[in-house]
Amino acid sequence: MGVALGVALAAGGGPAIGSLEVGRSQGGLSVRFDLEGVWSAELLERVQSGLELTFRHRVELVGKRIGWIFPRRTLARTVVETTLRYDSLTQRYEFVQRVVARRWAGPAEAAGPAVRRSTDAGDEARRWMTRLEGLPLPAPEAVGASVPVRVRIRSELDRKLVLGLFPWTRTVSRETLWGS
Amino acid sequence: MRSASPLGRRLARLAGGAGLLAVAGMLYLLVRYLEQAGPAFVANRLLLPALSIAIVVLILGLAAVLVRNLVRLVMDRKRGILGARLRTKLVFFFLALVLPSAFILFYGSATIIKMTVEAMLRTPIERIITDTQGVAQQWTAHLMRDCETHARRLAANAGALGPETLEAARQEAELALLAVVPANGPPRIARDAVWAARLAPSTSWRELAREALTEGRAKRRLEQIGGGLLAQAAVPLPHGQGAVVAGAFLAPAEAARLESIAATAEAYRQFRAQRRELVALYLSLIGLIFLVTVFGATWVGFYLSRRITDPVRELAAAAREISGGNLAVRVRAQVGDELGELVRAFNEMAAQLQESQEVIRRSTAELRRSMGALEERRRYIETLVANLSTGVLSLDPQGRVTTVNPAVERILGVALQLRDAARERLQAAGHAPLVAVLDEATRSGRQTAVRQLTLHRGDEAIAVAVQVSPLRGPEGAGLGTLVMIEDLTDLLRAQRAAAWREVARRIAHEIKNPLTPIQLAAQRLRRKFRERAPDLGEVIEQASASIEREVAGLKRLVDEFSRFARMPEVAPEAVDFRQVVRSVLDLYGGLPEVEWEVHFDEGVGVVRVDPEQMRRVLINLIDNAVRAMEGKGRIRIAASCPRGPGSLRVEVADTGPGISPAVRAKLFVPGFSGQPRGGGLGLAIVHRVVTDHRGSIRVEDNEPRGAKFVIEIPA
Repeated sequence: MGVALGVALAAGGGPAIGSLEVGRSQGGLSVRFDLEGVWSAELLERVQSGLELTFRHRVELVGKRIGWIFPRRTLARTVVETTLRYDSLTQRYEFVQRVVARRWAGPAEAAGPAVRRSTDAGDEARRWMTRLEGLPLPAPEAVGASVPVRVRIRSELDRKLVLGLFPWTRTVSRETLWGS
Repeated sequence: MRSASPLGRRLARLAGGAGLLAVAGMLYLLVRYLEQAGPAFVANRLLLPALSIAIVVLILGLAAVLVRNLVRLVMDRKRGILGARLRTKLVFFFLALVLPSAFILFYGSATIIKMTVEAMLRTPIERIITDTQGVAQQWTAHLMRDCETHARRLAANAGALGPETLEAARQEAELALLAVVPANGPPRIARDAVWAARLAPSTSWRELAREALTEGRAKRRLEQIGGGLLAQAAVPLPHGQGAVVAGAFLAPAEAARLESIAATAEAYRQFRAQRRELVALYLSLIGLIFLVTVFGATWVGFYLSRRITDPVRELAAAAREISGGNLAVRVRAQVGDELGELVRAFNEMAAQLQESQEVIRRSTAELRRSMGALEERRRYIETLVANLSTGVLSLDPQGRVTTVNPAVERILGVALQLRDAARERLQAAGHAPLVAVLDEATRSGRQTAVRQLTLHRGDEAIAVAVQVSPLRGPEGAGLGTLVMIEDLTDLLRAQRAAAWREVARRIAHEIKNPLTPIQLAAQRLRRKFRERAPDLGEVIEQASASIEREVAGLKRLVDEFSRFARMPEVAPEAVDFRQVVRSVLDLYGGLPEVEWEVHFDEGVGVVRVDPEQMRRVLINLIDNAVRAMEGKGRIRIAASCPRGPGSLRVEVADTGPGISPAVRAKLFVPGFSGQPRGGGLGLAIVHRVVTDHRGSIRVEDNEPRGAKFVIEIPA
């Protein structure tokens, strides 16, 4: 973390969140991370068939638990959804990123405007889906944090079938070390 | 086991039925939705998880219901609750019926779906779709390449192009859009291409121009505008002055074909990409149907089994209640089939039993009252019998004592007890004549035997009247023998005393009768003597003759009584009784008008009797018979030994007028005579001789007329 939050090592194997960085931006925090090991031939096939691919990322600022009895406090949360859709007629990828929920200590703020992009390059589309930048969180002092805080990421990815029958959404998560 | 109330069971059934209906309705709606949504339904992120959750819930519900009901079945079987075995069989029957078929259906359907999906993916349709889409993409690429070619051609002198020049170039190249986008400044658009520029997204061709300008290379793009397609290409101007954008328009009809090709290809590729989820969804649906079927079959199995076994269990419980005496119990199970008939029949039976029990209760009370009265009557009769002076003895067909009153012991001197063998006890007590009468009555069967016997109670001789009657049941079955014994000793003693008084009176009379002629003769002699009558001698002769005659009569009378008084003690000896009889008959050879019949049974021979006394008995009886017949008639003498060698039975029968019952009663009383000239001692002597031989004598009517004396002497 460019600010004061160190990044914990991700668990090895399978999809993971890498290059997690938390920086200061316009009085708040800006989170950036990469999804690694997510993009596969099967996923590409699904995208190129015209199916909409949606990842949901929950970015939270959590405070350290006081004692052992109290749960960790979620000081702020931003939920971002990225969607990619391929138009086989125009042969272009349509990408949309929007904040679907934003909550910190206080009333929930309205979601911001969606970011829309399109490209005919598959690599660029993959990069849009696997690299998240500028995800906003409030500064710890802005939400009254008096204890060490950390940023926690939890991404819900594509859907798999367990036992060939029961659907299960793949998730990856990662968090920074405690900092201020 | 606590059973739910009827209302609770009804609510449970309603809830179960509603649940099944809801699941069935949900399945129906789901299938309809799938039909309408097509392959795109897989994209629904909620559908598959919802189905999975439904399957898990149903599996858990089915498992819970199965486990609960199976545990209940096992518990019921362990407790021996009626119907548990049948319910177990029914449930397992349903499961065995449904599970294999449902599983086969599930497995078969899943296999068919998988095979169908794989077969669809292996068909040439993929190649057709791919090639078709390739052709379409080449066509649009060709359009965009043409646009790029025109754009490059104009880019060489783009700085001199104004709207009119651009319009001329546009028309020449048959483009829909042609514009120059300078790096700085407003774009210049071919005059008549404004419509295309306006139709295209405002950012579209300008962005494309900027991208080409930024990247320094040509850029192509296909845009949907106004129902058609706009193929565009942007070429940067030299030195970064801007970019030229050219666009060709595909009419909506042509664009629709390309869109259709693209949509078809997308649908196919989506189908291929989602084939696993699709199969999973179909399997989920089939699995859901499978589970609903199994759930329903199990529920129906339990329901039907309860519908059968509940009334049976209630019937069994009611039967136990009835066997315990509670006839008011009724089965309230309301079923409409054959079990209902059974329940109704059972309730009718219980009602009839209850009614019968009431009748029996009333009858029992009545019977108890009757039994009380009978018992009272029986005690009264027992008291009466016990206080009778007449001995009453009843015997069963085997001769065992069933009733005996104290008078029997008092008369016979034998303490008979119930179930004693009467014959043996009486025989041992020396009452052989009584035993003989019993045997005779037993032999005769139906007749009542009345005998007057002389028995010995120790050293005392007693006279008894014995009446032996067969006892008959209502249907004539033999129940035994009734013996009534009356002690006549005192009566006979009194009769004898009276008879002796009569004898004395008659003796006095008989003595007085000759005394008068003697007195008259004596008085005549004294008077003739005083008168010195000339016929004194004749008178003396006549008077003495008269006195002698009368004295002779007196002497005969006295001799007769002397003989009766001087009768010696019997001295039994072994004699041939036939000789005794024959010696007596020899005395009566001078009676020509008497016909004799003598009969001896084969066994009759030597018996132990006093021959002289027995001869006297026979003479007296024959004398009586001859006198009764007035010397004319038939006399039959028969001897037998009915109770074996040594016993003797003698019958002397005549064809005289017979003896009336009034005379019979006093026949053997000394001094009583049924004949005018009889002395009244003959039969008394006979009776005494017979009783001295411990025998008995009686008088019966002879057939066809006359009287018959029967003498029985034990061996």
